[in-house]
Amino acid sequence: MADYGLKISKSGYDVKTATPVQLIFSSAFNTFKIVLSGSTSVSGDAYDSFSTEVTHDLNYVPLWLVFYKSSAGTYYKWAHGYGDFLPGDNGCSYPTIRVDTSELYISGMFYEDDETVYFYYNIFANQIET
Amino acid sequence: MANYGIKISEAGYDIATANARQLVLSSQYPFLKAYNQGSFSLTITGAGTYTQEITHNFGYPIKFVHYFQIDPTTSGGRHLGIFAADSPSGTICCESWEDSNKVYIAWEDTSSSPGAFETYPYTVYGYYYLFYDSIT
Repeated sequence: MADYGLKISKSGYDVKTATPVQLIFSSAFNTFKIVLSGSTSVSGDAYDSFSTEVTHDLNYVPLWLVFYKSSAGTYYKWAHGYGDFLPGDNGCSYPTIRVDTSELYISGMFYEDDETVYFYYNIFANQIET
Repeated sequence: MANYGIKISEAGYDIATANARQLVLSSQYPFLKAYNQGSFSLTITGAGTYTQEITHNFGYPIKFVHYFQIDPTTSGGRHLGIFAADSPSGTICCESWEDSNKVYIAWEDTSSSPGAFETYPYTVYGYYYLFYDSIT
């Protein structure tokens, strides 16, 4: 097989001998390409459940990365699917994030009255299932 | 709109017709730019929340991911993951949150009875990646 492609090494490393960890980029390795990003929000009162969807229409199940922030809280959080109350902060429960071949589904429960939760989503071209 | 940029397709795919999934890189699609990676350990001596602060001082909330591993790792169900262990319900969880200049990663031992999850003290190891990219 022909040996061709593009490599960029970290400063101080010879690109011809650098290991994958010593490279900033190599066309031999896939990158995480964001094909859709944006934000959405839900509003409600304490103990109400919420759900919202983001349509991606990729026709396969993509990788995703979601962060969120409650109007009742101070901090941004990584939505990794499960957890407990945030120490020293208020706001919704950890949201559940699911994805299929056309939608990203976000659901959870409010912990405060008159609460708005903002979700910041990233959907990648890379698929979960190979 | 001008049609220009850089594309690199995976081996076996024609660059002229490859879709986003078949591309290794495309300047049409941003990708996460790693700023820093690191690790830390927390010694858990009793029920409570143990927090590691990571300062970046970017002035905006950044994208990040983290994972945990528990010592000892030889016990069944203990692995490097977001929660790192299969545990009795309600005994442990991990948390992460951030503001514009810091990321906070915490391990919570919420055992209703001391040591329900693990005999104290035990050690958890945290691993994180921080990205230059803003959440918002």
